[in-house]
Amino acid sequence: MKSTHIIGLTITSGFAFLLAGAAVPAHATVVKNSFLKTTRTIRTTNSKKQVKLTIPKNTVVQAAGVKWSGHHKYVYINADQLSYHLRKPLLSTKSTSNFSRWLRVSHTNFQQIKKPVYLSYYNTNVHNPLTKGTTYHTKADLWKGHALPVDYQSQSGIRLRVTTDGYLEYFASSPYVYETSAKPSDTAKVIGATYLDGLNQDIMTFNSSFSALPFKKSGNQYTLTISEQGQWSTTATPNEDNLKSLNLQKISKVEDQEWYWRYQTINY
Amino acid sequence: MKLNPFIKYLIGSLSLLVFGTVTAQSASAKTHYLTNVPDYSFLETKRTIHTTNDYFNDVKITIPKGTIFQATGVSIGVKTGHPFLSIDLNGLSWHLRKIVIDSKHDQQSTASLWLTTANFKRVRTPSYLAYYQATKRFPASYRGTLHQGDKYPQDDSDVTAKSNEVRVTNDGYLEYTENASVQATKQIKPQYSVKVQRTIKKGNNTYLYTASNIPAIPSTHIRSTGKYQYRFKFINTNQHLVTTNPSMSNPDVFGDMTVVVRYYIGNTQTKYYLCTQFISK
Repeated sequence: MKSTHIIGLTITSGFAFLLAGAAVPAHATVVKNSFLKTTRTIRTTNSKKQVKLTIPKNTVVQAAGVKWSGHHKYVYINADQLSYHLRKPLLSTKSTSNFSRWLRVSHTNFQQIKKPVYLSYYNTNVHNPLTKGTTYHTKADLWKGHALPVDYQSQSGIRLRVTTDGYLEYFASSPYVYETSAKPSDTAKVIGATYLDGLNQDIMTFNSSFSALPFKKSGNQYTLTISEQGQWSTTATPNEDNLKSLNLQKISKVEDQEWYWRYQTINY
Repeated sequence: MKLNPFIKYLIGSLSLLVFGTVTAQSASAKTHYLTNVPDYSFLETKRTIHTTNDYFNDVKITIPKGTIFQATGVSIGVKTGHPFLSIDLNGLSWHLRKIVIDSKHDQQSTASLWLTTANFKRVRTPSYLAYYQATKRFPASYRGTLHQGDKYPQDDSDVTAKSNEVRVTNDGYLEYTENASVQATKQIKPQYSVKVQRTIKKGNNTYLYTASNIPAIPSTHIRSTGKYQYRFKFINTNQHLVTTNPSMSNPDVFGDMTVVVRYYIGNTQTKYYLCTQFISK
């Protein structure tokens, strides 16, 4: 009699333990560089509480950093990755940080999504092992031309990029080294995108176009194709016989135009 | 006859004792293996290793006790899970590698050797290799070699390019080779091979002390007797130079690059370069 009572107790406690153990914390797979979509309008500020930031519902953002605090996971984003009308407060002279405050990762704030197809033209995450003096870049910027100029730190170039929330932005003259992206010279909202794996092509569709980039008209819509060429260019600074840093770029074609994406910087 | 349970117990315990001793003997004969040997770390032989050249197995190779070599290509046996490697004799001094360099085959590695604790032990990076980052990942053929010249030769010419080379082997010999192929992994006979007796590193300068001289490169004669008669000075300028080779399919884009660091030997203006990085697509 006594033994059966004991058995019954152990079974129920074991079952309860199983149930408790089965509870998986929310968004267990959100890590640095994961993509999230807001499930409500998030009103926050930049990390230094200098300017207000409003991220509308259904905006795609990328986690720039992740932490655990208490029983919750938090992320912060780089608001410079957002389209102009969302990042505009960062351009104020009051703002000295592009990052947002920590935002709680929960169903009320975010849902995790896959990397948007329109961002397939560049690496949004780094998989290489960390090496001292070597930086692997994950910025969305494409620069027009073949290779980074040697004196790029004081120069400007023609830049294009697609924001995480799906806006193609074109900058007729942008410094190679910038704090916050200024107002773009032209912009167009991405309404669809396809990635052709074999050809490394990111084909984006728009309802509007602008003359600065070689859009192709297709019925009532416009397309722009960015193709990775599988080729690299390099820039040795200040020169090849006295190397202080080496910059590596991946060459892409925007339709027929040659543009490059900054991939890696090695400092000596 | 029914056996007394006490006697049964005695027989049982006796047999246990016998088995016990047998297992104890085999436990003392068990082979132990080195755990965690990172690639590019250094090992020293604890006994004389008798082996052969890899694949062909027709050249007898003897590596004496106390030889330090660099562990490259450490692998794990699929069936046993034990670590093993082949020793690349190109990293060792002439008197040890002579037998494979002179052989008819182009094979300078030993057959696979199990990394047992009886045969090998891990050691710190030897001080005579302090003039360069010996544990850094880099193609073995360029390891620690100072080539006389400005920087790595441009593509097309690097296959035929030759230079005078100075290096300290893994087992501690300072070697000078005239007109060696820049690119070749096979380390031919040097003009001089002298044992490094002591090394002192002061900032960017590394001083190597030997008992005999290498007249081909600058040295200071400091004593007439003993182990420390000559001193060689390697100066690391930390000046990096890159040689970019265009892609074979498209000359406008880069195929690969070799980054070197400039060195001087002694207080002269003769430039040497040490390969430190190879970057390819």
